[in-house]
Amino acid sequence: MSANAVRKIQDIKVNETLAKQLESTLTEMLSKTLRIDAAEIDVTRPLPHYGLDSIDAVTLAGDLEDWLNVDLPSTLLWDYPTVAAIAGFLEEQLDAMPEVKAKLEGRVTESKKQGVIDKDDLDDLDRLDPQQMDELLSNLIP
Amino acid sequence: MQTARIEHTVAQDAQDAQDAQDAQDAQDAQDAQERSWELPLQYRASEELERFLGDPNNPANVISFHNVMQWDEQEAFPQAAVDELYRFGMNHYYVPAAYGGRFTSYEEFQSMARVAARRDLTTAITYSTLIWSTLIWVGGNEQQKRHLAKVLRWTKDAPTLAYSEEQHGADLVANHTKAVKTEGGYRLSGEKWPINRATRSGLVAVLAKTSDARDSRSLSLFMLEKRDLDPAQYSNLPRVKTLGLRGCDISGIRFNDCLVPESSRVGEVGEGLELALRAFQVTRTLCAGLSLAAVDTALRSTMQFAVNRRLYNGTVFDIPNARRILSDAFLDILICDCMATAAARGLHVSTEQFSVWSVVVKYFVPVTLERTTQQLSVVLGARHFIRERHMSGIFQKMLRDGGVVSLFDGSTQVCLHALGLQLRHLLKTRRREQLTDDGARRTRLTTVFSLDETLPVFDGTKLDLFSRGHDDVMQGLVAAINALRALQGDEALGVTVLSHLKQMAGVLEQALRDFDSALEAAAEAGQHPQSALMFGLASRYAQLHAASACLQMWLHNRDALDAFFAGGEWLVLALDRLLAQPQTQKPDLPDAYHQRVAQQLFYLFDEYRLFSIVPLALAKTESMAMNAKKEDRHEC
Ligand SMILES: Cc1cc2nc3c(=O)[nH]c(=O)nc-3n(C[C@H](O)[C@H](O)[C@H](O)COP(=O)(O)OP(=O)(O)OC[C@H]3O[C@@H](n4cnc5c(N)ncnc54)[C@H](O)[C@@H]3O)c2cc1C
Repeated sequence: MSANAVRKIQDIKVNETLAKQLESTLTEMLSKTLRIDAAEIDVTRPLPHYGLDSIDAVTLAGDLEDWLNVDLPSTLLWDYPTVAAIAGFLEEQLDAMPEVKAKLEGRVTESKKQGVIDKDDLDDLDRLDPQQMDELLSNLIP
Repeated sequence: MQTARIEHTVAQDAQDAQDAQDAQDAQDAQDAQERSWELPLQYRASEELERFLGDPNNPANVISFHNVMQWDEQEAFPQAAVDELYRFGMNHYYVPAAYGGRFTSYEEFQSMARVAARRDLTTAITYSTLIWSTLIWVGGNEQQKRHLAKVLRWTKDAPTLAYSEEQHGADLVANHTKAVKTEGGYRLSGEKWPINRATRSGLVAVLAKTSDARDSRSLSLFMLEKRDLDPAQYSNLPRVKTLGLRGCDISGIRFNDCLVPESSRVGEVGEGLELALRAFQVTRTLCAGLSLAAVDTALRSTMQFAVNRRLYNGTVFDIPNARRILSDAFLDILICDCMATAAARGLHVSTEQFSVWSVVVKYFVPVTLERTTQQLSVVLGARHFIRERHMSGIFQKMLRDGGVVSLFDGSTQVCLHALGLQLRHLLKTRRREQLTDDGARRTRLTTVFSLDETLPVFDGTKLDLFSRGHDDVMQGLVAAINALRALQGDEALGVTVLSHLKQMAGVLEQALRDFDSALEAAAEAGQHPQSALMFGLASRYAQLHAASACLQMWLHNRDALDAFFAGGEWLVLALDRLLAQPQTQKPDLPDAYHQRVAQQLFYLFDEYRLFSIVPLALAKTESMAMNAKKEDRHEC
């Protein structure tokens, strides 16, 4: 995972809306499940393309359910097979669940407050070994 | 020296007295056997089927070991045996009562299948393609259900399952067979192979691509009736030679731009994979019955030899190591029986959780019992390798035929993979919920485990691809251990056994803690879900599930089943067998427990009863039984 990737995730977290927040979290989950670089995941590309098979997708729907603490169909990722589509679906669902939405929006604001990583920090990132990088990344994921 | 010897003698006397007492206790227990329990109602149909099919040792019966072995040698399709099951009306048990059939519960159904399969797995596996009707009961429309009910009840047409392709096995999404929409239906092209009963069946459940994408919504399911198709547009593939199931019609089917009606599609377009996986949850669970049947005959055949074969002034059964292998085999059966019976009942109760239960059972039972049968071959010796004479050579056939169960319908690897993926969720939910006493779960578990509780009607719409971290059997473990700790010894349950059980509960708790930490470590390390480590953890989970099922089965049925079951010695040994690892701290268990298990094994063998926690009565031919024993004595 390059520092570039981390920067990209961080940027999304800091600057974007709820939909983007959902997208970035989904991308993170996927990159973990599929063991690929988050930067490589195109949010509009069907997930099977990245090697996500049918039962992996079901498990990932379970992860989402856990994360949002809402009931989701176990075939969610079969019917919404891109990151953008899932995020769109979730955002719609969340409109009906103000509590969950507020919590997530709280998170968005929270990460905005934390501010952008400055240039020096980014250089530090380049020196992290893979394990440290993993730790850092897992802290970024809600 | 002197004192030591006296002490020894005193100890010896005490031991002798203890032995005499044990023998007396065992005798009393045995006397109580017949009186103290009644066959649960749902097992009556199995006894009836047993009586109908008759003693398989008697060549005069259609499904006799003699005939079965002849068909096998000739690689002949067991048509007469299939007809015999139709004559009994077995087909009606595949149709839900709501559609005029006799199906009431999977527990009853599985037990009946076991009774049929203990005679011949080839016949059972041929006949059991009727179970693919599950696809319609779970996902079909009203008209499809009514029609299939009629076909199953009043004709001998049976469905076959055509999923696999030569180039694509477990990876269904990679299939090539296509269904292209056309006016009034679909045009099907592609080849399905190897398929059980492909050539002989009248109905074919086909999974085909309805979209070019390689995703989970690209498949649709069709239930075709061959008589509706143009014979020029499909052909059956030649039968393949197999190691076991040599009489089965293992062949295939090819579709050449074959027109199939719209009405043959089951469920919505793109729903094929989902339906397939949901129906597998039922059939995978039921596979346990086939393995239990095969091992019953393997053990019976070995016992027949072991108790009659005389050497060194005794019988094989008198050789302690041989006896231990036999009693351990019986323990394996009891363990798998607890797990499989709970699961067959659980289908009605904890239906939403079967993405977990079904793979636990489908992995654990066949693999365990195939190993058991291998062990038995050590005792049967030369005769396990001979295709005739001793019980017509049925042992080696069961060994060959039984081997297929861990391979089809979602292989061991596929099941461990699927289970491994859910382990994290299972752990999280169990952690979160085990300390709360969930009344609904308690009620469910009582229904699952108490064999005299009535089961609710099975509702296939509840089958789900993900269990959301739930597995009642494992989530109920803490409560079960607490219930065990609160028990006091009584007439049926000796204080020593109870104390050993309580110690084993401690071992179980420790095993669970060890498992949980190993799983957490694996999750943190981001283990690949198909790594050897994850498969090992999934396998361990299945063992723990088995241990929990045994404990809860015992707790709930101490009053309902026989004195042997209530006595609990088997449970101590079963837990020991499931949990012990080299480093485990565990109590020294008395040999008397093993003797008790061996004694029950002998009793069930001698009395013609199923090797089971519910030892229902098997068919016997009075004169035959005597002759068989004598004949064997001669031969041995
Ligand atoms: C007697 C018999 C009867 C059969 N009847 C039918 C039938 O009626 N209908 C039908 O559709 N099929 C039937 N089959 C096919 C059977 O179900 C196939 O064996 C199955 O589809 C798997 O295909 P495969 O063995 O070619 O292996 P593949 O799926 O190609 O797998 C190859 C190997 O990869 C490994 N592997 C596969 N998946 C995983 C995973 N998820 N995780 C880890 N490792 C994995 C395993 O070691 C496996 O052996 C039958 C087969 C036999 C032998």
